[in-house]
Amino acid sequence: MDKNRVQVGQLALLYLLLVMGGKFLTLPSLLAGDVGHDSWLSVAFSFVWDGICLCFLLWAVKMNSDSHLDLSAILEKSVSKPVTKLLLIIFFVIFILRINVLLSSCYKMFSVTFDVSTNWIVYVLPIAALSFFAVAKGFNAIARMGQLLFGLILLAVVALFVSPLLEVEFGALKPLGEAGWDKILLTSYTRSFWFSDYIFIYFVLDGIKVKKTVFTPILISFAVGAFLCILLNAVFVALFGYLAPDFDMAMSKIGVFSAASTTNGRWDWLTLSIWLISVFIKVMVFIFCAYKCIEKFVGSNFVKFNWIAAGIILLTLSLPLFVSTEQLLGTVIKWGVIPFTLVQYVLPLLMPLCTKAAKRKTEVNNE
Amino acid sequence: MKISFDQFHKLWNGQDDFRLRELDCGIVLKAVCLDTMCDDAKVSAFVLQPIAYIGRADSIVEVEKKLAAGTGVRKPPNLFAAVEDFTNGYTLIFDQNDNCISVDTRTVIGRSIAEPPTSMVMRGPREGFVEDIKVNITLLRKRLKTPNLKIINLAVGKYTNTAVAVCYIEGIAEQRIVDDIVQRLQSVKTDGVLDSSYLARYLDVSKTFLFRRIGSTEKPDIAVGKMLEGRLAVIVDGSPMVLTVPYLFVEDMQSPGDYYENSAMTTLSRSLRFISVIASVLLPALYVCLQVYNYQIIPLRFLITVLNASEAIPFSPLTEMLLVLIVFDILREANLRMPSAVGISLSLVGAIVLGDAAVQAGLLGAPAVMIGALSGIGLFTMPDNTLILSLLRLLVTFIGGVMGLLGVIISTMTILVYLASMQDYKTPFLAPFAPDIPEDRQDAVAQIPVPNMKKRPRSIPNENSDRRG
Amino acid sequence: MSNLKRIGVVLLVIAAVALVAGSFKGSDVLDRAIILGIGIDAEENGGVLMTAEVVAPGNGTEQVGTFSKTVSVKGETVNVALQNVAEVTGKEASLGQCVVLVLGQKYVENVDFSDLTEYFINHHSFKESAVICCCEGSAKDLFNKGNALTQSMSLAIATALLDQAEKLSVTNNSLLQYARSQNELNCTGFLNRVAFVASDNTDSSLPEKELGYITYREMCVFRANKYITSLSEQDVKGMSLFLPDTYGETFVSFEDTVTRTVQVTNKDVKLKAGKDGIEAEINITVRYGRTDSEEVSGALTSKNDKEIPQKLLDDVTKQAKAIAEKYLAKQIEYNFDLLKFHEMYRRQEGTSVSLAERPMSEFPVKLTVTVTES
Repeated sequence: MDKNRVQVGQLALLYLLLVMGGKFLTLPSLLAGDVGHDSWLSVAFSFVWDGICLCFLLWAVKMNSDSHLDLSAILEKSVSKPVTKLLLIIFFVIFILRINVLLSSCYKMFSVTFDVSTNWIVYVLPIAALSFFAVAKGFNAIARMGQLLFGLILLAVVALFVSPLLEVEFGALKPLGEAGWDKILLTSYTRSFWFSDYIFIYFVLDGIKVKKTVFTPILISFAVGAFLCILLNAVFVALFGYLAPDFDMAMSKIGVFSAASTTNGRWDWLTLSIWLISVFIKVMVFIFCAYKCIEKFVGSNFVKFNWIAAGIILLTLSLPLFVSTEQLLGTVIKWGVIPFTLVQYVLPLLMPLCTKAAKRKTEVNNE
Repeated sequence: MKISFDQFHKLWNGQDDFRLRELDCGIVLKAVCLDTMCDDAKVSAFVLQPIAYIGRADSIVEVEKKLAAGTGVRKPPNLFAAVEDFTNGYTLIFDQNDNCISVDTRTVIGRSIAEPPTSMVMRGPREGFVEDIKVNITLLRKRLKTPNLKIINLAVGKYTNTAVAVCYIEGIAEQRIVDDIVQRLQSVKTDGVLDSSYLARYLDVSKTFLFRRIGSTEKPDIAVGKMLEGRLAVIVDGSPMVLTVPYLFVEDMQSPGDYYENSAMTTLSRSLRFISVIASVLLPALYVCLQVYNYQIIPLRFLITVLNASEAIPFSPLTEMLLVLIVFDILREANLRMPSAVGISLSLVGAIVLGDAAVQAGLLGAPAVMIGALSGIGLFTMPDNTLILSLLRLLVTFIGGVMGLLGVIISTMTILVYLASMQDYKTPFLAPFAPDIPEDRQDAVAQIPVPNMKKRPRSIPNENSDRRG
Repeated sequence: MSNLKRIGVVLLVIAAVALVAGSFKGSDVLDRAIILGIGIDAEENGGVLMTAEVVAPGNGTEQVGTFSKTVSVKGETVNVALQNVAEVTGKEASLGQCVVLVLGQKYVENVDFSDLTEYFINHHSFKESAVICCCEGSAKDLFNKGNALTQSMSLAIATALLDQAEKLSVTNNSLLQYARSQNELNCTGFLNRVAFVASDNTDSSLPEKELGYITYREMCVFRANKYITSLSEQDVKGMSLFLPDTYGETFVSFEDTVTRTVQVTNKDVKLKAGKDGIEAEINITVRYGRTDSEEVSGALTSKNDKEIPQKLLDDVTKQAKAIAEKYLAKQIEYNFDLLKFHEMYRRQEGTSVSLAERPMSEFPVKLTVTVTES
């Protein structure tokens, strides 16, 4: 289990990368389409919910720090085996959908912005190969890589932000709540699929090495990530006005103004590609989680790399060949929001209780 | 196996350099030695003369006591030990009851201590290790005058029987790692060990072979410095390269002279090394993939230069760059083999004539040659130039040329995952960056002045973290 | 068996590389015609005449000199014209490096060019930050004339409008700002009008080419991509008095047979939208126009001794107020909103149809101008 151990500091950095990765692709334009220039408020509300759930989850992590139970152990001991399996299925579906949405947005970005035409399979295979390589090497390797690249990615994001920030007039966001507060709240619920990135923590519960505190580093990175996401959405709608819903690749459009000088070339694309690393890290983490889902569902520890599990995940990655992302978001996720809410927003609130119950049961068994 | 003179005689008789003398001093003694390994003067002074002047002796124990002039006199416990001593240049003395003593009469042949050509320094000690293990241990002892310097002697190799010494400082190096390494060395099954690099392969736990996982140095001051940080030094007889374990990636970027310079200067030069190494791996790949896929990124005026240069080139950008890199690698390889006088003119011919002629002839574009050369030179800023990076450069360039930015990103990430996952002897390869160990960053890229380094690096397991005592 | 396995692995790797190499298709820079600037003119039968300035590489050793050529093609739409550019040049047209979009005079005055802005704004590689402007005469003529100072007409226009214009008290538009102005609220916006001024040809390498400079102090005003009116140099000067980002206006005062020039170094503009109209407070700081650079200004500049007489300051105040008022009158006359008065009210009231349709005459402006010495 040693290769899946992760320090709290690494977890915090990884969480920040996950919050930033993926949210700057298609989400801003979708939100702008829903609530216009109030999209940033919608994002803010989502993050408020995320923050509350994250706190509960971290509480559970803290409780678990001396017993190192994993998710399925906690759930099986506190609720029951069938419920655990059901939850694992929901988790698996969420992860697979998220991976697919992330990858297809990236694919679009490569083909549209970067003008590289390729087919889905050849595009996905290297990324999947990288992810499975990382899964085989353990979560620790992913966490360490995140740590290595963190500074670079954050620098790239900041560099992308600076020029548009100077360009933008935040006054354009007024009046607040023009779309109607109920609609804004509803949007943050219907788009919740894009949020709650902490769900990956469920699957590394047993490997978290708690030294002093869990809350401070992770909550700091949550705050930074939330701030950057809200800021990006605000800048995006303020900068592009009525055009915002049409610009489906927020990050690639927002960078245009970084390269304001005429002959500089599109340096923003280089920073954009660096930022893309965080998307790939997110994909890697989610593939790791999906792999763990299968492992826990089967109920046996994969000592060696399991090719069957990898094959199943790889098969699900061909989903975008049959369903377009719009359809996926429009139908599957629209109906899936309710079960997803269960694991995204209800389960974290119950996690401290479950952990407590599971710990008590383990202690009883040991005696 | 019991020592017996007859057996010994059977083993060696017939060899040209086998010398046998029968002596009589009350009891009959037989002295044997290998002429090629012994110093005649020593044999005469430490063996023959004392025995000749003993007068009478009743037993070999008495003889041993009388050999007062010899510094190394001992009783080999078994035949193997006797053979080992014998082949090392000891003179063996047998009595009729097959009792045996061995006297050190080894001849000293070897280089004198000189400045190692691979790690020249501007400032700091100029002594380097030599091929003789005894001299090398002397060089360590000279710098570590403490009983805590422990040396474990081993012999490795069925035929070569090479002496190997594992040196560490008790109380600093972690005992478990010492035991692990000794056990690993003992379990080595091989015909012979000709150089320390043979053993480095066996000490590489994760068997990666791609990246250097074992450090090596030719300078005793460096070896002692590393031992003071909790590492072990493995000295192999016949090799001037002393191995240090465990090894971190940052050590690749640290030059011997770093500790003797101003720490600000060291910080600057280390950062330059990091930048140039990263650039030399990624620059050719970026140049190719930007040309083939994302030329919009290239600044307009440079793009026009590139267009001007490459319009007439018969190769695709990828082929062109691979060609430049391979030519550079060929030049470097040829340079290594050449005597230094020819080497200089070869590199001049290679760089100027080949490069310029290729550009003039329209075979290669000037920017490609420039970037190839820049990347080639960049790698040489690494004090311990690891050729693996030049292989990686080719690979990343190829992938970048085929898949564009996506390929560059993915191949870089794969390399990083691979590096980050390596952890030998409880030491993460990429420490102190991944995992991040803030205390250790004081001597990774940036370096704080030596008086302020109060702690030993945490990334190397140790038993006493305080440097001050 | 192990040999077979090894051969299998090698074959698999080769197949994978071939598959990957075959499936990634990029755009090799040598196969693209890199367009620096595009000029659009009206065609008589309704289409467009596109003039594109394309990078033309030299012969390998020559890396300086004229590096662009212009091509002019016709097409029913912009897209068709771009394809025709590809046909003519033999390379696929690339807009990623395009820095300027110039619309010809006849084109902007007679054609509704909404589809054109929409095309470029939604084009994936065309930069939204590119400069858009219109020109006097035809864009084709403009591109075919040489700039006496720099090599590329597109780069000359782009640098002039992006870097220099605001120092000459002329504001400019990126494609994004222009497109937004044509679709939001009052739907009015402007384009700078670039004009060519011929000069003597002093370049011996291009004896037959007409060389000269560009000027850009005039503007055309559009509503929903239709031409309304044009602003003279005076009007533009008046307009930019309301814009805090531009500076460098000069005022010339003739008095007592002495002619004096003062230059604006800093401007503090406060626009406040109230119930009964807009309160505009313009506070400009001036100094004698003597130095090379007027950029040193602002609160952190050290104080100078006063040297401009109050009488001159009063004269400047009068002049400034006059041109500002003249501009405001023009705004009301043609009902266009370049100072974003509608946007100011939207921020208070929210978006509504009634606000969007409110004419400019319902926004009376109470103007105060003060002039101080820096």
